[in-house]
This record gives sequence, structure tokens and C-alpha cells, in this order.
Amino acid sequence: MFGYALRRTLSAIPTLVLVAISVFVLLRVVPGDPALLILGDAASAESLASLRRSMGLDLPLWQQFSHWIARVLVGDFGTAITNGQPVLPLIIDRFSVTAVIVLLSVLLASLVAVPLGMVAAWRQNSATDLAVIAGSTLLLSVPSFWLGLMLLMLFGVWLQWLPVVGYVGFGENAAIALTFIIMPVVTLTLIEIGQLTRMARAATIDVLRLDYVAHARAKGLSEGVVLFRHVLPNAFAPTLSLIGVILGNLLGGIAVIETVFTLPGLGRLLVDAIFQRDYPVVQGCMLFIAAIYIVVNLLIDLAYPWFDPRVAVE
Amino acid sequence: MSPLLEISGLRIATSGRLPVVDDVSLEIARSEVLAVVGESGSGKTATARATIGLLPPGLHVSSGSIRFDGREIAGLPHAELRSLRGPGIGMVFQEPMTSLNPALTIGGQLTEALALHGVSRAEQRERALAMLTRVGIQDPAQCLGAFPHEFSGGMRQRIMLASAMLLRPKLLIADEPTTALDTLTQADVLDLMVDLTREHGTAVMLITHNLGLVARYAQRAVVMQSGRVVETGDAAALLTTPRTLYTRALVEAMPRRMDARPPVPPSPVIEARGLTVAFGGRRRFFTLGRAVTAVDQVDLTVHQGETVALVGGSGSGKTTLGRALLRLVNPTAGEIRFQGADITRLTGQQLVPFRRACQIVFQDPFSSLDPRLRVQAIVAEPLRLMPDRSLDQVARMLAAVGLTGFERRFPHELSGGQRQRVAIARALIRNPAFVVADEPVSALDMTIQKQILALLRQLQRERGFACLFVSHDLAAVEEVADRVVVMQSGRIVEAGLRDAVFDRPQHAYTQALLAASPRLPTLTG
Repeated sequence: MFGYALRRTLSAIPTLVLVAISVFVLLRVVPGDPALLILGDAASAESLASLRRSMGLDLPLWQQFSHWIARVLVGDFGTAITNGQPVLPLIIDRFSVTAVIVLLSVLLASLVAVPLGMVAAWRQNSATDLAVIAGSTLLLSVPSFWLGLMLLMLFGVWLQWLPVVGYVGFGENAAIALTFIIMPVVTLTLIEIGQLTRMARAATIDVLRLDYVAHARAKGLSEGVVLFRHVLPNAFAPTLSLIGVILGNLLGGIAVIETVFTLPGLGRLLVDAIFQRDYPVVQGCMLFIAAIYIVVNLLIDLAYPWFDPRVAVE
Repeated sequence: MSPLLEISGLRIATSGRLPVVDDVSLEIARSEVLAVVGESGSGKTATARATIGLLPPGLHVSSGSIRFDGREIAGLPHAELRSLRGPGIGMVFQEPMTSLNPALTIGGQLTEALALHGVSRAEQRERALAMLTRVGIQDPAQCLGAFPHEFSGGMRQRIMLASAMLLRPKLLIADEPTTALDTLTQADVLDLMVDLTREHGTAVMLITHNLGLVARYAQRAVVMQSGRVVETGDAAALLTTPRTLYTRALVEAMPRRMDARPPVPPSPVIEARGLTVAFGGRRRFFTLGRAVTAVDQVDLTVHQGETVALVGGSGSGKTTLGRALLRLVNPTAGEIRFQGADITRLTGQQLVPFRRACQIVFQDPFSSLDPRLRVQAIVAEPLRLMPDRSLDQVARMLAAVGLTGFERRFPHELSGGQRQRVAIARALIRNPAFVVADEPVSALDMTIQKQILALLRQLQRERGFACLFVSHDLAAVEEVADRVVVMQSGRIVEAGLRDAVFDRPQHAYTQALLAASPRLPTLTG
């Protein structure tokens, strides 16, 4: 298993190289000049040129790229053009905010959605099933920013139970930090419940049709044992793949929710950096996000055989 | 003594009140093997499932009585019914690939029902080991910790049987327990089942569409058609002197040997010399796959107008050989000649004339037709590359396979037999010189099998194509083949004229295959 993980990690290197090259080239193709954005329209041609020189933007593209990549290889992602902060600590700091919210939401959503989907499938075509389908379709169709704004209005403005604007890190004061992330977590959880419930229901329906479920019942096992021991692990495997995709997607930044709740997350960092043509930050973020995808997928693949032993890890 | 199971006036209906089983009555004595025989849609499986209270959603018992061991069990509350399952009534399912849970170990699945009945852990393990040994598992201790996918289909059916018999049920329901297995494995598993149930005094309800099994394994038989019982009686008498027309039709549908056709003048259509196909062994990312030789140094010739049957168990390489002859699988070594020309190394455009002259009919008529095309379009498709395509030709072909008037239907609007006729029409519309029929009737009911085999014979007489008939079913082979080639582990172990191979088999493997193949006594009266 360790060898497999190592091989998978090594085989991710070409992917990361491709990401690095394409992000670098694409950014340079997009019109816009960081020096102009920093100094403003009124700046003189000489000061613009000298700022470009000091940032290394006057060099040929391949030289800029090789300088950047050589430093990335030793763990130095450069400094942000806009505020001079080192990029990697900046990304990690912002990512921790996003990660807490995303991991909590996906965990909560899975804990609710998998049993809900299973019960709906078990009672297929009943009123319970209909209610679950209707509910999850509704959650799927609601835009996340609207749901977020409604929660803000209800709990923040009218009831005034939770803070509306700002963020406090868990390192400063855990209790206060918690009040800031409740609403974003709830919003994201509700949205993901919609998706995961439908998947869990469909997967369970497929499994319930199979002979081994009838076989388990024919042995005289109770419905509870049949569902938990025989149906759950098999129905969970396809859901796990979807959870992997969702995690990869969300950990790369939840810009809309971060904007609605004014959270300093990875998504907002990336969006702001794009607008400011902050090349080192955008490049760093994109590489980081690609790495997250690779790690999440690897973890999901390593966990998969646990639910489906037919898939061997070797 | 009262019978163990007594079903009377049983009716099973869909939620829309359509009867699936209508007024069925049957009984099984203690330790008796009763065969329930019928074609698809006869209601035999629904009757069996109702007995153990496991009807699929959408079906329910609407009236009638099921008495088991002196007690009425139709309409019993779920909890009481459950206590009956396992030690009262056990069940063995048809499909070995889906009837064991892939996520649990064999040991976990064998012992869970014992645990339910308060057997201690040590005794659970001991009984599971003893039962696995009894059903012929080589290393029972290792098997307990293994997962189902590590076993072949035949082994899984043995494990299933062990799982059901471990609870020592009074009645075992076996729903087509060996239909998915090849002939040799089928006989092994059924022999084991009959021995094992006799040892425990367990009665068996054997559900099957195969009359050959009835003659061999059951004392009495019930014949079902369209949800009703048409005949009940002693198994041997039912087969030799059927009282109803339907049973007689079923018995007559059993493949039997036709008179040998006059030998064809030797005019080879396809010839293979030293043909070898190996899979794997290619270097992949970071790893080296291991090569498996599926076809090993095979020589085979099929002449114009003759049918050569390629026979063997699962994994013998017969399907791979059939596909390699069509260049659907690339040979690793050896030579294939088609009408005298070497086609072994042709690629791309060079293969087109060969592709046009050869066709294949697949086993599964449910997945081999495009569900979005109408019958007419499916049959016309091979004509697309030809200048003289015409609807006339399609109409004539459909008439030849007996499907006039079905032009505008979609595959899902056809029965299995009709779909296989469409597949045959599609294969033959360009008058191919060589046709590979890969288990073309294995998925069909007996009476439909007979029609399709007769159709193939008739079309071959009219059109004179060479046919390679790939099959594990010796009964069907005996009906259609001129010559028989027996394959084992990728090699040809015996080849000869049909009568010679069937009457005087030389190789031990052929003898074993023939001994395992169910035959019928001759029909009288």
C-alpha cells in the first residue's frame, strides 16, 4: 500500500508540471500589467519600467518561468506583488479557513445524506421517498449565495444570534471563531446534502436489487442487519467517489460563500489575485489546488478497497 | 404424514392486479426433490419466492395458502416469517457473481446466520469449516478470510450451498442454481447438492428450465406455463409419457441428434495454423503484466457449408479462438487464411473486404442490439458500405428469419428469441462466407432454442456459409454440428465428425463433458 501511494504521488509530477506551465502561460496571455495596476494610470513610463525590472517582468517568458519554477522546487513560491507577503504562508493561512469549513460541511452532509438516501431507497416509491427526493432536489436547486444571504438575514440581522461580518481565527478565540463559521458551514452542508442524498439513494436502489440482499434475507437476518451489514458498505462505495470529487472541488476554494460571509479563504484570495494580476499568488494558488486534487483522489482511492475489496490497491 | 410444503390455490398478482401466478397447487414431501419446470414468465420463480416470503417489490400473494411443516405461512407477519427463513427454508440463487456480498468475507457471511441462532463463536467456526470441507473447498481455513471475488463461479455456488445448508433447513429452494455454470461444473454442483440434502434429510424445490436436469435429479416434477400448473407427476414418467401437449412440446424441444448430413466437399473457407493468442505481458506504467495464453498453437479449418462446433468449459479459450479467427482479437503467433489468402497481418483498410465477408452472432440478445435503432435500421446497417443497399433486401432477410412486419419495432419491444433472429438477420444480410455463432442459444428458453437452431440450419442449407458454433452446451452441439472440436486450456484435445466424437470419445476431457451433459430418455407414446 505504501508503494502504491508512492507510485501514485510520483505519477502526479507530470500533472503538476503541466499545470505550472499552462497557468504561467495563460496568465501572461491575459491582458493587464501588474506594474500599471500598482502605480496607477498617472505613473511615468520610467517608473513603470523600473518597477517591471525589479519584479523581473522585463525578462523573456522562458527566463521568468525557469526562475519561478527553480524557486518553487525549493519551496519558495515568491512574494505577493500587491502586499509583499510570502505566497506559500499566505496560501496555507487562507486554506486553513476554507479547509475547516469544507471538511466540516462534507462530513456533516455525508452523515445526514447517506442514511437519508438509504432509507428513501429502502422505502422506494413511498411518501418518505417522495419527501426525500423533493427535499434534495430543492436543496440542489437553491443557489448557495441566496441561501447564505437568507441565513444572514434571519440569524444575523433579525435574531442577532450570530455575527454578520468578519472572521476570528480558531487560534485567537475558539468560541468566537465558531460563531463565525456556523452559517457558512450550514449553507454548504445543506447544498451538499442535496447532491449526496440523491447519489446514496440511487446507489442503494442498485444494491437492493442484487441477489446477495435476497440471500441475506433468506438466511433470516433482520432488516436492520441486512441494511447495515450488507447494503451500506456496497452502497457507500459509489457515494465515496462523489465525496472525493466534491471535496476536491470545494477545497480549491468556495469563493461565493467566502464572499457572502466575508471569510478570508482560499477562493477569495485567488479571485482577488486574478483581478490584481498578482502573478505569484495566482500561480501558487493554482499549483496548490492541483496538489489538493491529487492528494484527495489518492486518499479516496486508498480508502476504496475498504468498502469494495474487489478493487485491489497494488 | 402430511407433506412438508403444501401450496394450494396460490395466486400472485402485480400491484396492477395482473395475475403472475394463478391457482397453483403443489406439494413436497420430506426429503423429496421436486423439480418445478417452466420457461421464462411461467411463474416458477415467483412461486418459489412467495414460499420464502421474498417476492420482489410490486408482487404480492393475493389469495391461496402456503402450509409449511403443518403451519400456514402465507400472510404471516414479517418477524415470524423471518424466524422461518434459514433453519426452516433455505435458498440458493442463480447468479454466482451477485449472490454473495462482495464487501464481506466468506467467513462473515457463513457464520452470521448461525450467530443469529445463538451458536457460540467457536462452534460457528467449526461448523463453517466442516461445511466448506464437505462442499469441496480446498483450504477451508483460508477461505473463511477470503472475499467472494477470489473464487470462480462454480466455487461460489458451492459456498452458497454451504451457506444455506449450514442452517440445516428442512426445505431448500434452488432457483436455477447452475444455469450460469458450464456443463462440467453444473453436474458437480448439482451432484453435491443432491448428496448434501439427502444427508441432512432436506427436501429440495429445484427450479429449472432444463428438462435434462429433471430426469437426472428429481423424483417428481411440476410443469408450469403462464402462471399455471399444467402437469404434475413422476419425473421419469413425465418425460417419457407426457400427458399434456405443452409438456410434450417441451420434451420435444430438447435438442436431439439429427441425421448426419452428407460430408461437404472440402473447400476451406477459413484455416488457422499454429494460432496462438496471449493476453497481457505488456509493460505498463511501473509494472509488468503477466502473460496468459488463451489460445495455444491451434490448427482449425472450417469448410464451406459445414458447421464446426467448438466445445469446452469456461476459460477453455473457445470464445477467444472464435474472435481471433475474425481478427477481433489479434493473434500473437500463427497464421489465418481466408479463402486461401493470408489475413493474419492485414490492418485498417486492408481488412475491410474480410470484415464484409465474415460475421458474428453474440450470446446475449439483450446487449448486442443498439436499443435506439429500429429492427429495419439494425438489419440494414451492414449494407451501408455497399452501393446496392435496398429496403427490399432487408424485407427479404427479415422474411427469411420469420420477422416480417417487425421492421418498425425497437429491440426492447421484442422477446429474446425475436432479438436473436434480428441478430442472425443482421449477420447474414450480406451473405457472409463465414459466421461465428458464439453461444447463440444459451440465453434462450428450450422451445425458442429449438426454433433458432432449426433456423440456423435452414439458412445454412440455403446460403452455404461456413459456421463456427461456439458452445458449452453439448445438447445443442449434438443437434447442429457436422464436426466437433473440443478445447481445454487453450489447446484442441479432440476433433472429429460429430457421431464419432459423441459415440466414441477418445480424450478423458471429452468423456467427462459428455458424462456431465444431461440427456433425455427416448420419448414414447
